[in-house]
Amino acid sequence: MPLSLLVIVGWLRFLEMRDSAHDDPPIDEEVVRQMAQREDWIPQNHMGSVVLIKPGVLRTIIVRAGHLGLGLMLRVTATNGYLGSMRTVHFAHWAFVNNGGRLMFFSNFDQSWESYLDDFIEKAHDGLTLAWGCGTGFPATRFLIQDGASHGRKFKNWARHSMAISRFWYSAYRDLTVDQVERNNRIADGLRRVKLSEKDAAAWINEL
Amino acid sequence: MDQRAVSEGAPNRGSWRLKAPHDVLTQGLVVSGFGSLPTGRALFLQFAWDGVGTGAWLDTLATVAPVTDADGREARATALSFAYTGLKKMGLSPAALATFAAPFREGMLQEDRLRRIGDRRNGEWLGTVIEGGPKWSANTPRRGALAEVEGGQSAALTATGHREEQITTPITVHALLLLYDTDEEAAEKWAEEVEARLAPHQIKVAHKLPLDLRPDERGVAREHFGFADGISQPIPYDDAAIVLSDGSAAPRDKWNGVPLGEILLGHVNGHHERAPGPILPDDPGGSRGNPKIWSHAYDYIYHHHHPQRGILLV
Repeated sequence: MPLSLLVIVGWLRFLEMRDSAHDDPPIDEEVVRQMAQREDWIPQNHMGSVVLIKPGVLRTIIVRAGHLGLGLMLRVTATNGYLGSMRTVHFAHWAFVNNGGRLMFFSNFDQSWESYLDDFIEKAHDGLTLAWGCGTGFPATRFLIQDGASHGRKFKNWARHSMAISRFWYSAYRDLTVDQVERNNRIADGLRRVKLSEKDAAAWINEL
Repeated sequence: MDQRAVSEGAPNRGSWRLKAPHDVLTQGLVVSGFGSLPTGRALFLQFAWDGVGTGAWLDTLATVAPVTDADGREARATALSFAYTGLKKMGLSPAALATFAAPFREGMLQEDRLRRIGDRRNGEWLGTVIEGGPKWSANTPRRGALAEVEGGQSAALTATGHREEQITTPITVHALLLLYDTDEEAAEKWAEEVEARLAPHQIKVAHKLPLDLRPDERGVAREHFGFADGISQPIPYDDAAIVLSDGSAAPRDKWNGVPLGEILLGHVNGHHERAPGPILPDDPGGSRGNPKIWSHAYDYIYHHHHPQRGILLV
């Protein structure tokens, strides 16, 4: 077992060291402008991206196991409406498309695209690298979670390069931030309860 | 920098400073709010010359108000910053101007940026802006179609046919000069002297604001928005460039710590790389033949050796 693990880790590092990463992904300034023209009209923005997945047996297994594990872990740990220390993410959805050959990502988030990615880069680059490191051209990774998205500028360019202009998108609460949605939820929860302790009542009034 | 906390009982984290040689390459304003100099003047400078000017005014400025570096306390202090249109009027080449960050090149009045920061939407100023809109700016030209940027941004159309809104303020500011002094009388006299010395260089003081530390009865200073000194004060960390005042290593603050590169170009930032700055060619005058400008201005503006010397104004 330890030997098998060692072989797999060695194989993974071999692949990671041979990966080609975009040092400077080509960004079409005109497309970026068109994206910016459609952003920041309401408190939320949307991001849609599709990337090619790196080929190979080990990659195929790891990327699926990684996404499954990440999804299960977040179901247990992210139960208060927030994604870890980030209080701006309405939802983030990854899906394998094109017969598993591409990874699609959709997300609604509060505030600007730049600050959204900065949050990920500075607070959750490990998880982001695990989820997206399988994408072709992603900044060089180490052991699946290290480096990668922590190279902020390269990662941002790569992410912009992978995006399409969002001509339409859906938001359930288009005028509310995540914080406001959660606050409204806490108020509604309080109204549904038959009894409140003095402490809970004080906390509930504070929400108003 | 002084890290006075406004909350009673808050731990004293000590003060930090830049190590040599970063301290003499950096403007003092980056590390200090000049708390020992409670008053001053902000002079909004407009380059009134036609076409491309010279940098001779910087020599004059150095005799009457030399820019204060970050290597220790001075009897009075000066800070200087440039706007995109100011550097352009001073003759910086289009190739070099193109290497500055987009927010600096585009200015605060670019329509996407105004919408992003909540100042203007659908052609109307929002409640965050004073009535009638901003009074001063660098009046940065709107962006045109990419192919026309070099040619002067005349058509101002993107590929989709979208014409960006051109917002012009009554006052154009090319550079900002901050003067800090010990009392009102000295500050006013100094500001008048600077204005008189710059006038022959066709530099006009287009707008002037008083600077006032305004400490309250508890000695807590508030800046002009009313925020108390010390709240959300970022504490930069960088093992290579920052030490505490006593020379010991500066600890990384868990809550308020930010990588130095987030506020000072050329140092490691939150993206785990040296914050990229603009790049100037070895011959800054280039084919436009303005080496004289840069023999004066070079020390003040970012470049690949001393990227942190200047402060930029958007």
